Amino acid sequence: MPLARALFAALLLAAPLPGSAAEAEQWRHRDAGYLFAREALTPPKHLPWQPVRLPDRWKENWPGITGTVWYRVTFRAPRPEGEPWMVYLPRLRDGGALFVNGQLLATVREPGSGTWVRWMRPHAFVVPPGDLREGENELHVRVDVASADKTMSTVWIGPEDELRPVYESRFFWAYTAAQITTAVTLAMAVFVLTVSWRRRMQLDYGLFGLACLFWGLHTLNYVIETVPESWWLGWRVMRYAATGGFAASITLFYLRFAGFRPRGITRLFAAYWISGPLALAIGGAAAHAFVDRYYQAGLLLMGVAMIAGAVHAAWRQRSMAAFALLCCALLGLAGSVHDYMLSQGIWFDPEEPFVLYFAAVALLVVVGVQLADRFVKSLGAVERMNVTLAEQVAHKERELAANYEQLRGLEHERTVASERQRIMQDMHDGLGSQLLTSLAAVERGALDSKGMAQVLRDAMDDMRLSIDTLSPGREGLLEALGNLRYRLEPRFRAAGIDLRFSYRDVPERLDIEAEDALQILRMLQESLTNVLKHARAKQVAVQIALEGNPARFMLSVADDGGGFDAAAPASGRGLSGMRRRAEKIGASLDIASDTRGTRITLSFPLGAQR
Amino acid sequence: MSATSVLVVEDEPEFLRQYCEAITREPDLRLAGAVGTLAAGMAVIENEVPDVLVVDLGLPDGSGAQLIRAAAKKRPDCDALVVTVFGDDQHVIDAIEAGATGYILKDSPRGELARCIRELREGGAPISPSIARRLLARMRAPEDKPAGPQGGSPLTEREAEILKLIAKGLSFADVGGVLGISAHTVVAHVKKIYRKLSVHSRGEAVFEATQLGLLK
Repeated sequence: MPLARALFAALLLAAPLPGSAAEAEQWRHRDAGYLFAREALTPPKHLPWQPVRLPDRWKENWPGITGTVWYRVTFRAPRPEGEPWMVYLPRLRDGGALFVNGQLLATVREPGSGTWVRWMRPHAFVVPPGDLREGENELHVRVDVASADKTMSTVWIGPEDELRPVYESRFFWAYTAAQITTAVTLAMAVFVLTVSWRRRMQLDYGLFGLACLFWGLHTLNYVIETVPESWWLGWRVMRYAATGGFAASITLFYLRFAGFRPRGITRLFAAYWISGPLALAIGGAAAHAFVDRYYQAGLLLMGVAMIAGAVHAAWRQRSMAAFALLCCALLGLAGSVHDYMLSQGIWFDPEEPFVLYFAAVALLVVVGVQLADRFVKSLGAVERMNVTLAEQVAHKERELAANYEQLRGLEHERTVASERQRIMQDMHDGLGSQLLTSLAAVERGALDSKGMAQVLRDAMDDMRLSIDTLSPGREGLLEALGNLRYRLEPRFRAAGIDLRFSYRDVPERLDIEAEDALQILRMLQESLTNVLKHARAKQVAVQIALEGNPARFMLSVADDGGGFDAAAPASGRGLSGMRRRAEKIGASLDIASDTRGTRITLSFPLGAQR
Repeated sequence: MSATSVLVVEDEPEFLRQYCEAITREPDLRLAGAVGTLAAGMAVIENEVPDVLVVDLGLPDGSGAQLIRAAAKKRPDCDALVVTVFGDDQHVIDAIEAGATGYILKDSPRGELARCIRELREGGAPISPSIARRLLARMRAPEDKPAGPQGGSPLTEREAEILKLIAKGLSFADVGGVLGISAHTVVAHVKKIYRKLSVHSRGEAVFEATQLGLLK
């Protein structure tokens, strides 16, 4: 937004300033003659021309008269071979025709034949050298005083070199500047209104956008100089709606800026705003003069309310922004009053250009900068809030991480503790009790060295089994079974017993808890060492299988030894130990023995929860 | 055929005595030396590297693996039998990497030592399912790593197959049955695998050392 403003300011500075007109002033003609005549060509000199002072305001000099008027200006020119000359009219609002020494110089389009015309731009035409005479010359201007509300401006006739800068300067200020203003304010209006609508921003931004929109439409009135007759009423309605809308929205903005936000004022302003255009729309052309004079005067009152708000805000806030707004409001009101009086033919030189749109542009610039500043500040606040938020989130994250770490530590401690508990339990049930009973037997003198060796070997086996199942990185029961077989093989070989393992329907992996696996292995080891110790067998077959649904892990050990009396107390201790283990893991144990051999079958339900 | 010479390195006198007896009792075995420290063992192989080393890994003045390495360097066909209390994986793998081709539990039945030595000399090597699985994992070429100096897995398909079956818990005879070879051929394969691991691990060490700029 500020960029567009800066560009606009640069353009203003680049344009030639009106002050350069001072030297050309000598070519300006204020004295003329006039004549009411319907002639199409220049009326002759002898007719009753009346002297008149330019600019000629018809409303004052010829109230109620309409018709064709001729103006006649005499001027002196040097010899025609010299520099080219030019005729320049600061205003020729309703068009007309220009003649030099009776020769048509140019026509400027006039209202009629379905077109409404109002020229805001100045007009200038180069005089063909052949049309000029050395000494006295005549310029005739024919105009149609259709609406007796207009003015004939002064006439400038002189060397092109001197008049052209004056003309171009006037052209810029009276016309090009209006074009630029229209384009910039409308573009800004689209931008501000879109952003404030989409972002649901404060009403202030919307009011500013509306002010821009209305001002752009208002200034369009200076840019578009010819309109089809049939559009005229709508065109004027739009013009007053734009002017009133600008006044209402910018005044509301000021009042809000000053801290007044009563809905009543907003409604009042809205009602007044539509009243003028509405009256014109209903009343038609007849209501035009009334609306033009009194509706616009009411808008000036609105401007007074704006000044009041600005003064109040400047007094209360004492900020740069508030003072800048006050200055612009004063400038704006002054410009409005000037233009109003100018358009109503009061007090001012009618040749002066309208100035409000410069004042209004200054006003829009200051308001825009103020809002942009506010917008940037609120963005900054949001960003700071985001930073704070991010910090809070990071803080929470750290807290959570610490909590999680703590929980993990606790979990780890718990796991370690339960694992220790398990190993303690295992030592207590297995090796510990084995050593204790052996110790008791030794003290009783019931163990010879061979028995002692057996006891120690059993203890060693038991430990290896524990290591085998409990050490990390093991694949489970099947691998441990293989290891046990691998370990026991030499002993069976030494004892001359054929040890055979067979697997039936066993998958690659068996999901059996390490504790359960250890108990199963102990039972198998017990059975196999029993065979080694007592059975006098030639062959022992271990069969591992998966059976039934839900699946059960089946393990059987069958030998062809002498068998034993399952009920006899002598063999009871080892067997009762096995039964205890089976019970512990929820497995069933079946022992069948006769003189042809012994078969021990273990059945363990897979997936059983103890 | 002349008697197989055996050097026993064991710091526990009871076991040292037991092993010496077990060897001197056998006519086809000759005791080349019986020492209790790594230094003494090194001194012995300085003169003559025996056919077979029986070594305890945990010696008072160092690891038996050093002795195995030194012996293998001087005489690649030297067999080393490691004595271990539990036959736990890590110790055995370490020993195999050093160059051992077999291991025996300290409390093996009498006669087992001699049987093991003979099996080794005949080209076989014992292996437990756990060790087989570990070897398989160690020597399988990692897919996400560029091939080492050996270029991928050093194992042949047959060797990998054998390790897989042994890891599953099958006996040598069963493995032989599955593959249509004799149990004897199976253990011969295992021995080759052991040798490969030893070379492989040495190669890896060299590779890593080169990477670190320790060797040129």
